[in-house]
Amino acid sequence: MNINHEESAQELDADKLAALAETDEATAVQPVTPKRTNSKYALLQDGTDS
Amino acid sequence: MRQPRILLVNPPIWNVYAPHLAVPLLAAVMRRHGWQVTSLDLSIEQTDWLLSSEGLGELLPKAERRLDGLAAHERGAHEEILTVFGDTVRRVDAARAALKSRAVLADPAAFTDAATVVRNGLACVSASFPGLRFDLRGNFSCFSHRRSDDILLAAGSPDRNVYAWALERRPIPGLDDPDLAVAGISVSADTQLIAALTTARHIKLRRPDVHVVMGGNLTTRMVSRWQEEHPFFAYVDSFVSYEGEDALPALCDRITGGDDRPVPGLLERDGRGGLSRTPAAMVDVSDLPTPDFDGLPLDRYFAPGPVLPLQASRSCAWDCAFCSIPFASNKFRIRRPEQVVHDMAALAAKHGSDSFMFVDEIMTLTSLRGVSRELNDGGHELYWYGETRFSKGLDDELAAALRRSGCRRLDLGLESYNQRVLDLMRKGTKVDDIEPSLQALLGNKVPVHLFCMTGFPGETEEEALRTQEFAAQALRRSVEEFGVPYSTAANGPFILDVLSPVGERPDLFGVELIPPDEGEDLAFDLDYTVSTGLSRQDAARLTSGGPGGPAVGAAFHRGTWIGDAEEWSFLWALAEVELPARRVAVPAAPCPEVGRAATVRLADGVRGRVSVTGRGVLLHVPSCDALLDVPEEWRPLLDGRDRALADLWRDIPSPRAAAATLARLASHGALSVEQGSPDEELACVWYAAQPHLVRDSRTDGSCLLVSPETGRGVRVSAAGRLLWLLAADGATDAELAERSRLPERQRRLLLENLAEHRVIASAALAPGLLELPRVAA
Repeated sequence: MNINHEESAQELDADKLAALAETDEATAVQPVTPKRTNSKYALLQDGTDS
Repeated sequence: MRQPRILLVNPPIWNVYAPHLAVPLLAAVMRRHGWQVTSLDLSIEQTDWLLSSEGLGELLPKAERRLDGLAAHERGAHEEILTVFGDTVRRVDAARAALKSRAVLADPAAFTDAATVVRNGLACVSASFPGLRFDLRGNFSCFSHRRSDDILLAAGSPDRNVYAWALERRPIPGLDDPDLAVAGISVSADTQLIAALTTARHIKLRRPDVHVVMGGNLTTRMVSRWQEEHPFFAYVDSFVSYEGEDALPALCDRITGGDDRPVPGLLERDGRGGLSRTPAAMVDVSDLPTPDFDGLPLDRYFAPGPVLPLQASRSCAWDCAFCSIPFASNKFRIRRPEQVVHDMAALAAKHGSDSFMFVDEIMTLTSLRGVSRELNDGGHELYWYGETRFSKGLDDELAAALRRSGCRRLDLGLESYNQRVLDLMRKGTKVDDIEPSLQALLGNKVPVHLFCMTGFPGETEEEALRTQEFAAQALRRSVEEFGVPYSTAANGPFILDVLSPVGERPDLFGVELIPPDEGEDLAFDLDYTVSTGLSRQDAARLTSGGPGGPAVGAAFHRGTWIGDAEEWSFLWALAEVELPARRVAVPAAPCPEVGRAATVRLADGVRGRVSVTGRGVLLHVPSCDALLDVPEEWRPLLDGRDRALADLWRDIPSPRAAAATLARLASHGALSVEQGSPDEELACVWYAAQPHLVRDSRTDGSCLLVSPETGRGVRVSAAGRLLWLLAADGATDAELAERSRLPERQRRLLLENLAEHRVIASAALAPGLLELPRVAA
């Protein structure tokens, strides 16, 4: 298993992120529901799933 | 003299949440005609058994045997399901029982647990047969239901055909009854066709003297094409088109020599390689008896009810361009409302159920007014739902009457929120009537379901998105403005049915049909090209949910979610209870304390296997329904015994990586840890809870972190992303503070939130034992 996060971090290393985080006051993270494959019967996503 | 017997069969797979109406309707007619009737819902009988401990237990060795023969790209998903299989066998009986219990309506967590186990069971059945996707909506196998030769091949292939396999183990009872003279098989949808022929063959091989007749909507469509004797006659003696209530008694009388009056809608061989047909007749729906559900296993359907189906009308009063219902169901007729309510009251008294579903193609305003008036005037306490369309008459007065009469859901064919597209569809709906009807229903606490269609020929992407936005907004308003959390919506691609007006005159709609593949003689939906607007591929794209679809990891997570069923939405609305989550509630991640003398073992219920695809050890954690893969050095844990951490560590090359795995397992509740030496000083270290991939990275540093194992995503700002990155291979609080330079409060809250969403996890570790890693300066 690969937990090599740097490898997949899309060109932002810790130093660059730390610089960007200086003006970031966020304290929360936001779960995002993966959209399911819709079929004739599937519900539209309402974003309430977590 | 004993009366002859007819066996009436509803083959799989049809709705497993409630009985199909065809068999009860025909049973009532045939009993009134003096025949003995055996009603068999093979759809629920087989599905319920396949998803039982007994059924899955018999399938497990079959699924295991398939692993070695699979192509490399299929083995990964297959071994995931095998990892979950044992746990599913153990828990599936309790899960099915829970889903059928009224108590589960008010227990959302119990529902989610049970639905999760049953969904995993679907994956287990699928894994047992080549190419099978066993699903409660419809099954797709290595056999095509678009080809007659494939269907006949399937009928005799129990190793590859799940229905034939199940019939071998659970034969249809009563076939040795000497009174049995006729077997009627009702086929409403193409999802039933393979099982229908499999059932016909099963009966014919055991009782060649029994007359097998096939009817139903799909049968009507299918035989309309036949010009000469068809191979299905090998197992089916005759076919009935359109309605069966007049045809079946006439056919049965003819078979037993009681009468030789014409049988309406009958198709038989003429003995010269050709076919003989009789004209169909229209049934007087007000003359029909109350449907008779005797003999059906009403306690086995996958929803607490039973929710009994009824009809207030038959066929459709409209002629929408995308629909083939009028082709196969005669003219529109209404059953008298007083009879409908009499049916409801009689069935409620007989079966102790107050819940009904109207399976009319569409309930017109006349039916809605009549049924609600009769229910209200009679003071009945019965509950129901049905399907209708937006129209001017669906106003506040009617909506109030519907609510009073027990209506707790109305399905509405919205299709499009664009007048131009509605006109192209010949829908007959005015956009201006939609909003007032919606407000009237929701204002009177009648939840709605909106059917939307994307990609009708000529529709533009802008128009399709407008409809989607309207539906999404309607769901939000239902909750926020009207306090009705039970409304739902579905968005499906336009499907070109060859028997619909578009299929019959594609030139009028700017459509060019693409012929089916060679041998697809039963293809009723076709590929096509359009001169303007959305293509079929566009429609698929706009309704597929786009990127971020099912997780590539958990193959067992892809089956039907039972909570999407309309019966469940109705029952929750009826009970006015909290809606369940779609995933099991994951308990708060513990922070394991791991000292030098610690022992670990897999937590109760956690099972695993060694991967044959190079993924180390696969572990399934039932408490959060997660599948984890860890390095093979953790294999000794699979026997379930306590292991000294020191022994495990001896075989692990990197304590740093091992600590990360330990924290990850603990954060999922997969490990039980005994610290061993309580007074030992430990250090808190943050680790990655599971692998995450960066998606949608933006210039402000924010991104979406997506777990390939679970498909779950978390949007993080630059600060959250930074903490995740620094913690990836282990970091203490002090190290995170120094490196991130984030204010203490912000850092603490972000760490808590990242941990809550299983992005990172913490462990308290003995530094000496674990050679604490350090974040690079």
